[in-house]
Amino acid sequence: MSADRTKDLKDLKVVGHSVRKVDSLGMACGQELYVADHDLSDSLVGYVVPSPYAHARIKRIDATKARAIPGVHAVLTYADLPRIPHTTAGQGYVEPSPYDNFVLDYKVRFVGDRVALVAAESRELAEEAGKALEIEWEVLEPVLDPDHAMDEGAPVIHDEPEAYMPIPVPYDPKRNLAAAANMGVGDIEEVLRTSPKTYTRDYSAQYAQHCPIEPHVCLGYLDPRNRVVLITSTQVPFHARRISAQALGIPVKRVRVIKPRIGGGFGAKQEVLLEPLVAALVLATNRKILMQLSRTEEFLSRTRHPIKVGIDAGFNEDGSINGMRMRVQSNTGAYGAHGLTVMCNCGSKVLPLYRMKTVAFDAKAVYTNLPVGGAYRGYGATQAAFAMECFLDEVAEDLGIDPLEMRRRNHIQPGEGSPVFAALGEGKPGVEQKIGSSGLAECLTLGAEAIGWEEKRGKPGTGPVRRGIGMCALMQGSSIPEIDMGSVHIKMNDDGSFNLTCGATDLGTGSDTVLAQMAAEVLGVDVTEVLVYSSDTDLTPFDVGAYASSTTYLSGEASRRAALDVADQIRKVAAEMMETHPDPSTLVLEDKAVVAPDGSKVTLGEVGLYSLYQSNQHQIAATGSAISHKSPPPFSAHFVEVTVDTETGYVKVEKYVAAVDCGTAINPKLAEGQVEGAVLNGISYALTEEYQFDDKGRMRNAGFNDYKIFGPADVPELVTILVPTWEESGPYGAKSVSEICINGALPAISNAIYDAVGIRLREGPFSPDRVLAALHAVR
Amino acid sequence: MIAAYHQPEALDVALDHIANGATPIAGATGLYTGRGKRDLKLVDVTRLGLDKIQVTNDAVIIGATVTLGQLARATDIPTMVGAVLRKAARGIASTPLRNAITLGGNVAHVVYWADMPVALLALDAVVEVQRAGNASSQRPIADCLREGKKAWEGGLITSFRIPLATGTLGFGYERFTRTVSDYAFASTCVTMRVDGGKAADVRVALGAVQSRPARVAELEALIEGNVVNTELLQAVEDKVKDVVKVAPNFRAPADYRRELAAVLTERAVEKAWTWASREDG
Amino acid sequence: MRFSTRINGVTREIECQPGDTLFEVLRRMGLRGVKQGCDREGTCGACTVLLDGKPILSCITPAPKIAGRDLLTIEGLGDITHPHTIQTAYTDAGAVQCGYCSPGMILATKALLDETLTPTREEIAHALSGNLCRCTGYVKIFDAVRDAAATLQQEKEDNER
Repeated sequence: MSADRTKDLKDLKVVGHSVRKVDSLGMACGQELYVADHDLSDSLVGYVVPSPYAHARIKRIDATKARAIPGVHAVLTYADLPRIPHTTAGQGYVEPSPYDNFVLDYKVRFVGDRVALVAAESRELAEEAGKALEIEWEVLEPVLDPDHAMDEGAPVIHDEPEAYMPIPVPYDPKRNLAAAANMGVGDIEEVLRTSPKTYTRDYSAQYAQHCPIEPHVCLGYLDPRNRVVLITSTQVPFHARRISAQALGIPVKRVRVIKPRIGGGFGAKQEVLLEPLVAALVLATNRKILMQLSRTEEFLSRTRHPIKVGIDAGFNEDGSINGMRMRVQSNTGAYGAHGLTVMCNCGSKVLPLYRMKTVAFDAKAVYTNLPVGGAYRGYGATQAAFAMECFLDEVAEDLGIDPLEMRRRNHIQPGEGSPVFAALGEGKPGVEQKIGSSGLAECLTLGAEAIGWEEKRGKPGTGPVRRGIGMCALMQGSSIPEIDMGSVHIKMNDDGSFNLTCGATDLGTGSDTVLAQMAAEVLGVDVTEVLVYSSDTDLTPFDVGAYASSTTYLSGEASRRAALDVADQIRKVAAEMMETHPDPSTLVLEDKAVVAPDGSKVTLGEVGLYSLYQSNQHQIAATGSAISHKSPPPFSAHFVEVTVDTETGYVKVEKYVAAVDCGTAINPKLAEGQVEGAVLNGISYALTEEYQFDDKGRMRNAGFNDYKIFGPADVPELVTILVPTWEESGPYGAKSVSEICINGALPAISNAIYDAVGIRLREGPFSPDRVLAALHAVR
Repeated sequence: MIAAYHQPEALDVALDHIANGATPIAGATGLYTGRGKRDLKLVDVTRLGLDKIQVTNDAVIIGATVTLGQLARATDIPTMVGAVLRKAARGIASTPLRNAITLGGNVAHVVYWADMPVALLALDAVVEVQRAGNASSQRPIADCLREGKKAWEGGLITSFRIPLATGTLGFGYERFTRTVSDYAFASTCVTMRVDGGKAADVRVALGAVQSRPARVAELEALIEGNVVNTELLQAVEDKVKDVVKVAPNFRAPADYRRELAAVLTERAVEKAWTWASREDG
Repeated sequence: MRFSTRINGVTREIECQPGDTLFEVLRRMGLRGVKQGCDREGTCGACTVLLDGKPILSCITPAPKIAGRDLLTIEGLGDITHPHTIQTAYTDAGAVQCGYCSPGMILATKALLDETLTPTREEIAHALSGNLCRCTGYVKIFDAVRDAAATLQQEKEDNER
């Protein structure tokens, strides 16, 4: 049980305050450097020649003419590079993703897949070189429908002998099976047979792209010590280093990865995509190489996994759940990166939210010759929460129970656990946990109030435009327990300021600032006294990187530990400096000074000078590391008011309320920013975002003209309510906030549409034509 | 690859360039998307003084390089004509794009999704095209759009003349998109007067659904001389579905776009009638 | 081609190819506040600059178009030692997350606030309609615009006294 420590927050001076993000002003002035802003003099453009086919073998590839073009400095084909299977998934070693990727291959597996690499003096010349390649293709039949990927006789996408799964989980590429997971507690068939009410429904969440405004980009060069330096837009610098080295067969120590400012990621950049390619071109040319994806290429880089989620469940008349089975079919696209883990998260981040004694999870991820699913904010929870939260509404209606009440009766409470936590990890058993902090009940209440749940539901009105209210409840996680690690190093300077270096990756989320806040709190200084440098594999300690909503909870804890250690060292020196030589444990760090119980004081500046120059000189410094032993869920309840134009099918979100329990918000403005950005992304996903393919598997809408994301004129009224709780296991009571809120829009809007016009939309997006067709179907 | 970029300040110089094979550009917003055109010679026509709006007693003359941004704020264009033009211009693309897109540019490429032609059709706009050697023509926009780009090939659209209606004009302009900044899935512009309680001088223009923006004669005939009541509105919807030839694209199913066109047209007709009726007696 | 133009208040001589975009010319000059986010379609707004006070998209603007005109880039608005009120407002409102859209968004804001210091929500949305952001959900961007407007309005009133 978590004690209510939220009142302790009032004593905190830095944590819990919306201090300025350390890099915001520099960005607002256009002075912070992104990858392409670095010195590009004498650089060449790196380019990936894309496959025109969804599925084909390269029988022969001749780059002679391409290489002869003046201004073209290198053309690499699969014959020029070592054939080393690896995964591009930015995950910890041993990665729970199949090693089914080669830097270049003699097979292409989706339209846009890599054919060759070019380094040239301009993008135009590089494209010309691509066109000058002489290729003899064996065009193969593609698999474009995940429902048929595992049919008898279906074309085999990964027929290469080298592909394998590095951890012992189901993997059967001969049947296009990229991953499978089955888990069960109790007898679900029995439950379905004997429950007073049983239900079965199926839902489908569609392809989408993260659309970071800065596409993937990487700048590489060989330094004077023959090391490959990669300045890259990544969420996972350390995985990028390791995997780039692995993929090219060079030692890890020969690679340095640096993440400067980057223009968003949302999971797209939790992938080692460009780094091995740029490194290969650097080694081939001994030149500086800049590779930046075009927007079209970005759409074909990594995507959200399109997933079909079905739920079969047995209920009692009072709405309580006897047992539930979740069936998952994920389309992982042409390569299996994140295929297993996203699929497993469908279960592990959704099923535990509700109490049930019997639970089953039946999942598979199949290969198709379509764009590759990767890590995308929500990571399986998005797709499965759609199913769960629509399902509960459908059941609630049948049982005559208010949907809000349905959640209240069933959701997990503090102190409770779920059989799912232990049974379902990411390809292996998970970690047992009991819920420490939960503000879900309050989220439900406050959210319902803010939307006007009682007043507005069930009142669609008359006339062509109808109004509806819908809701959903959500959970996510905070870090991957027992697997992920983050570390932070803090050293003290002459003037009592600190340098904090961390591997943790700030992609605009403000993690540099949050980590500094935690250290500053411990050290008794203003956050501006902590100077952060992050994400450089040579200079900063290890961190898995920005994913799994881990930075605040895990890397933050590492920062706190490092700061505690530094604080101890400071107290020892201060005690030495003070005449009375007090017991260091009685000294308090506050206001940039060390204060003894008798009032005597030394400033941190004095401690700095003393420790570096004057006596018993040593560098006050410490490295803190943290792993987590649980993944405490943030909780959220979302409420939305929509209008539906029954003549055009247009759905408009009028108001959206997100009530969120992220434990302590270390920086409330930044936490709100995460909520708001995720919510709007979710709304756009629900209403407008999808991939449109032609019958040869080519994406037709790979640009912002035809793949619509919401702009400033599309923003509805968004209300964010932070509900503070105190997570005992988290630094200063924090959990996480970055992913959870993207999961709410699909189900809440679907439920609101039902309230407005009585149709159930079980497939995203709720585009106007689909809504109108559904309306016609019931007339 | 662009081989030359001319920026003349005199119209005849520009016309000579065009006669010699240079491509006129104004806002140039589509210039860099279609690659592969080699050795393009461009003549930028935005410094020829064609960016003025002139209001006379019976017409407004809009220079071809007036930007949509300018047009969206042109409160000096009187009557419903000004309201239609401002509304149509304001809805297109986004603010920075509207600062570049010109009226001439939005018409000259004759693409199916262009929006300003829809309004210009409903307003009986006349297009002035000039060619080198003092050759100038004034033609109704409907004729030009039927002909396509040939209507101004080798020459330059220099202005649009829109009559200011002698009676009071009502209009409806409906445009459907998924997000605010989006190409239209369907758009309609309907203008009419009410004469003795009946619809008169009806214009119905449809955009983004057929292969190019056009007036729909069958719809105009259906409404002309009649009272616009519930029955007629239903007939309008049915007629749209009957006569409209949907040019298929991947953005949305053809059936949906047909239905959308019908709904939007019905709404636009109703709005035009309501406005026009209000003014008439 | 050669032509002169005023950039951030300073007359500059520009040398470029006829087909160069303004974006390419600015980046070559070291003015890297303009960012690339789309394929020269003018759909993301990260390349926004102000031409004669009006926002345009430098990625689709032929460089020669700016000859003899007045250009403002983010570098000309303010720097970290002397930031413009709008830059400070964005920073303090939490409107800058990854920052990639921020220069363009801020310049579009400047154009709006040069016209009115009491913009309605609709006017703000309209002014920023060409600038996409995927991080913030725009909520704090709207806050920043309102904050900047209020501060500038206050400054104006103070100056008038």
